Amino acid sequence: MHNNYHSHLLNDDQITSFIINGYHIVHPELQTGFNEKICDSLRSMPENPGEHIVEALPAISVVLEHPAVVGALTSLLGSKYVRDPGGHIHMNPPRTRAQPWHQDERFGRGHQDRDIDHVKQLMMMYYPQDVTDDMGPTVLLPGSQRRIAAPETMVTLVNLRGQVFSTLEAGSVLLTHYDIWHAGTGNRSDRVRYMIKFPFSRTEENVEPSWDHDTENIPEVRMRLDSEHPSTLSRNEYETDHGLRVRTWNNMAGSAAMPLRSEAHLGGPWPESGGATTASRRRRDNP
Amino acid sequence: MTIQRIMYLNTTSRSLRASVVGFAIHEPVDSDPPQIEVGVEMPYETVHSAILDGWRVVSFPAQRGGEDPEAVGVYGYEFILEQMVEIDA
Repeated sequence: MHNNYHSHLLNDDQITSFIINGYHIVHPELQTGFNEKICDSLRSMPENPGEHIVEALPAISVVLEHPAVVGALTSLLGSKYVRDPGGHIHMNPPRTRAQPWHQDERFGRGHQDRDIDHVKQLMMMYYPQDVTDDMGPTVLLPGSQRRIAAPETMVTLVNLRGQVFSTLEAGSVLLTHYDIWHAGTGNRSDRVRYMIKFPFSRTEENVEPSWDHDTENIPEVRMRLDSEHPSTLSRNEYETDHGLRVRTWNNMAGSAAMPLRSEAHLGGPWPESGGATTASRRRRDNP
Repeated sequence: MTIQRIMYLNTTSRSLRASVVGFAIHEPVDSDPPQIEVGVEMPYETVHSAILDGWRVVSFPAQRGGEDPEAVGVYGYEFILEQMVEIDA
């Protein structure tokens, strides 16, 4: 289907980061002037073409078919991934306010029917211009793709610890887990910020990893899945979130699955005098 | 006259000493709602440190039970605090 993407497949470390955080950034090498031409075309559009983006903007196929983009999508969704209907051009004009935190709608599914332990669907966001702090970058909450929370519970949330802003160079492609919490922030600049968004889906389960996998990396992957918490979790959530991270790897990795329970559970140095006990050591700063 | 400032603090547990992981301050002026912004820091590390700074807790988060053990849910525990400030009437 796609050519020359094999050298752009993600590695185990990048897949692990995606599982933990829920996003990955691709920097495809595009011809000089390509992004500017896309911006010019967007500015000249009389109206938003809705999901008919490729028909209205054929040059966007260069991004969709770029080996670096195909390599990342293949790694995350398997070699038979498809582009879904529902793409959209986002225009964030000057002097807008931030959106509230949200998860994108799951068409035909309940709001709480989420892929908390798998990567079945992604959003691809292409930014044809530099996005600076004041231009309304997309904000993401790493790890939130594993949360199931009704929209009503998000309405009082504003600034959250660990939130990440997509301040990116022109031509960058942000791939996010479909269910990650995100928002467009307010554009306080005098420039328009464009972003073109496409959803993609997995069509079949992997029999083996669809990325550049090496079994020798499994201990390092395991250590990261066991220990890296992308957002500050409540006390009740540590074990659940950890299990969901490992299950996500297993659902993606096919034959390279790992045991749910780590052999290193509660291992490590003895507690120090005056410190917390072994069982509560990792939580001593989070009473 | 005195008027109410409101602050939402989201924490990792119902403890007053739990880490703050989210906040929103609603100033008592006719303005836009608080915005997600680049570079902001949590105003307090705990609810307790906000109390030491003069804030009063007006709403405590409810005890949670019966959550789905297979899922990670609502973000943090929400405390609502107030601070009375003088304004020119």
